[in-house]
Amino acid sequence: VLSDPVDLAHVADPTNDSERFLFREIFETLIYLDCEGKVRPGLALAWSADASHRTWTFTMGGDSAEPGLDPAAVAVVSTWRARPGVLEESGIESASALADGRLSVRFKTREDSVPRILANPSLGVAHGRGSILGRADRFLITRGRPGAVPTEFRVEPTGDPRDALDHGADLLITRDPAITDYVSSRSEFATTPLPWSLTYTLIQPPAAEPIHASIEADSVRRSMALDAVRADARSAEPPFWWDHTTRCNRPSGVSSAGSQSSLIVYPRDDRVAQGLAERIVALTGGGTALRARGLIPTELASAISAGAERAYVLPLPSRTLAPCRVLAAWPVNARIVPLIDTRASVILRRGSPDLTVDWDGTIRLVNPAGSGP
Amino acid sequence: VSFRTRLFLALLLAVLVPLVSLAYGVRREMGRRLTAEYEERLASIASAMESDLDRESRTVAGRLAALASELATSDRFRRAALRNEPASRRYLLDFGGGAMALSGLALFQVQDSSGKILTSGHFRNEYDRLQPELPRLLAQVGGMALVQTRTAQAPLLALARLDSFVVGGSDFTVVGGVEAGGALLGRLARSNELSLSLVYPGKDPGTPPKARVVRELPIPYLNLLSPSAIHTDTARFQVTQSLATLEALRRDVNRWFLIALALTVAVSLVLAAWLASLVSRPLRELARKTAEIDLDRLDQPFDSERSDEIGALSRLLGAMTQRLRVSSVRLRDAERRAAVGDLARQVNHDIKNGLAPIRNVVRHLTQIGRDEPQRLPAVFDERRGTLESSVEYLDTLARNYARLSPGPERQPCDVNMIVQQVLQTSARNGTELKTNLGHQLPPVLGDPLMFRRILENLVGNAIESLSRGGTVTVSTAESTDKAGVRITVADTGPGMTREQLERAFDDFYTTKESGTGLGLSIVRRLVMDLNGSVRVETEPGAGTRVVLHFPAASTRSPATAQ
Repeated sequence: VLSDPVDLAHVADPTNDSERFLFREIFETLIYLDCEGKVRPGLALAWSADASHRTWTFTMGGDSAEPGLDPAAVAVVSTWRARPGVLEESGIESASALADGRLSVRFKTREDSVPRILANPSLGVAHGRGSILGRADRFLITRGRPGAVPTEFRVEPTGDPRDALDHGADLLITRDPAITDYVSSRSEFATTPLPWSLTYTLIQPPAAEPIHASIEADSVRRSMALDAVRADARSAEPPFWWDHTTRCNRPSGVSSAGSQSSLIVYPRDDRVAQGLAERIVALTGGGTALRARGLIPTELASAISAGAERAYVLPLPSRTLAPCRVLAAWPVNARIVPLIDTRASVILRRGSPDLTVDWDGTIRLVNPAGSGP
Repeated sequence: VSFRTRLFLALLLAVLVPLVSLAYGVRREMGRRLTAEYEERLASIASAMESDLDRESRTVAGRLAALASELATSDRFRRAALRNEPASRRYLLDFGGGAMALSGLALFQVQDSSGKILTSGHFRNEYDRLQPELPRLLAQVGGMALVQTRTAQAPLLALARLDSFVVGGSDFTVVGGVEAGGALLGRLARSNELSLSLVYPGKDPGTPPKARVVRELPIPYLNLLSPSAIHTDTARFQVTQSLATLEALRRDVNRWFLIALALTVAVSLVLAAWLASLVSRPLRELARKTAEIDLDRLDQPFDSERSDEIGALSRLLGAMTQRLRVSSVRLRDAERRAAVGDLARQVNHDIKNGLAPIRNVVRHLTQIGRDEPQRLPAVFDERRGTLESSVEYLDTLARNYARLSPGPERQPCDVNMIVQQVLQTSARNGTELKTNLGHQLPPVLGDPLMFRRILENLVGNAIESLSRGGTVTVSTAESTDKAGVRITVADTGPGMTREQLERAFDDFYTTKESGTGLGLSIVRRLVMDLNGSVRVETEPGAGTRVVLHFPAASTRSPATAQ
């Protein structure tokens, strides 16, 4: 059961754990990165580079006995060509399906090892997962041989996830401690915390007046993690990828002008961000005019783009393969103060298929039911 | 000022004065009673508001007492607050929100004896903040105050109460309240005519227009958002009465009064017009009939059956015209008689003028027959023309009178010849007769007999005015504009005064003992009949000049007389 809303328009940029999980099941990448960052085969079983290390050739997992173009390679090329912006951001110059069934990908710069960007979900391709029957709130994904029992993904963002578990759901991803508390006494479920995947940050436009120096204190951030939010949280811990991202072509339209705003804005449906914003307001004392305000996604996007508010409390992926893509919407030279890290937990009914965890803390089903031997 | 206007003004005054007096009295009395009733009602409503406010406060106090009791007996609170057990900390932090929601409060927080916020309902993440002023100042002002605080999203103004409890020997305070915004003010406001507002330091919107403050309920005020030191102040629940309803009522009364006034004026106008026409129409009719009364029209009917003054006036005018009719008949009789006498005198005068030459010739012949009989035939022959012309004159005169008013016979006449004929037949009586006749005068158009009568009258008058002798000069000349002939008869007599001159042409006016006073009158009529003009130039002692002007036979000009 997916307890967050799912929108297929977010395929390239999933916004919650449910979308990340579902899209990871639907869309495959050439390679995967496991939770330790090691490269694992995906659509491609093997790969090699030419002498310049700019062109990489991938051997696809199709039936090699059949001559000609590999269907997976063709799917990759056609899907990527439909997303020229993603290719540009990913540093891919071109891709082509070779007659011998392999896939050739040429990069803009030399890559000494297989480019990890290829594991980024934005380069995922819906191929090789069998049949997908999808509706807005229900997806059936069949893997393995034809006739295998499909895995059903039900989207139930409004209901109480505990009801879903009580009504037979086998897997649930949650960040709500109350849910994990509920199943902790239920022997048929196993709860596993996933890697720290989101870092909540306080982002301030460069011209905005700094909020409060004490926020950056570790004790304050620990207090936030423990008391201000209802989540499995900790004080944000380095390294932070944005500290090492220096070369991004920022869009010129993003404003970095300061303002007289006294608002700290946050995603309205994000309770963790709300708790942090409110705690920051509380820490500034009663004599200030600082206020917290939740915004719907469109309003928030506009506010971030305008850079006109005093500060933004936003969840950022703790890891990313495309940092410039994440930073693109932010005010240029924004100050980023990491606050807390949060992680999700997966609640799995015992006896369910095994899971694996990717580099970004997203789980994938390893051996879905009915996939065969 | 016309009768109609006076009538209208009278009616207007008769109606307006009592009406305005009535309206003024009604308005004044109504205003007084309305104001009194309003005041009474306002006092009642304001008292009710005060009671409601007190009840709200007591309700908050009751809920706070219940929550304080709950916390005082809660083991988890005891563990969290006294022993700082981490496992119970989240319970403590979340307690405020739950308790506030369940109790229906908008403000709720629990503080320990140091003033540290242990849990807050309205601002969950304000935990651990020190705010000792709030319970301390609340206690100072009696446990209830208007508190300006905030949530994470917005400022919060609350009607707050204070309570406390003890756990494990430690004091804890509970502050709770309801939002003192529109909802509370709406609950307290019991009437549409009364509005309740809050006035506190930094927010005094002032009295809205067309409203007045009828009562103020003071309440202690604490501003926790103040950047300076927090202290107690005073806020006020201000009960404001909208004067719009009262003003609308007054406007309605005024409007209806004005409508009544306008209607009254209109009715007065119509009534005045009707009455005026009722009265003035017969008066105008009387005036019209009276204006038409003339000696020739005395038959205007003035009969009236009205019994009022107009009827009496009409009958009076009728009687007057009746008398005028009688007088008119008498006057006409007198005129007729005078006209017959005038005619007789004129015939007498004319016959005398015709007989005078005959008498002279007869006397002359008689004298010749007595003194020189041998010359009698010769003289007779010499004077026979005179006799014949006189007889012809009398004959013509007789024919003219026989025709009563015959029109003159128009023919070109030689003026000089007529002058000479007249002078030949005129009795001189010692008067020197001179002529100064113009040459080649144009003929004038007219009856020669009329010219002769004119000249005979004028020459006769001139001779008669020279009782002591003198000269009569008859001159003829062509007028300066060549359009006619001018005849002047001048004498060297005594002349006339201005008064005599002004009356010279009047009928029967004469300065002579034996005169008829018709000579110049007849002259003027004859001159006018001949389209000529006559002018008299005279001064006392300087003689008299009568200047005649007749248009030449080829021209005509309108007659004038002076």
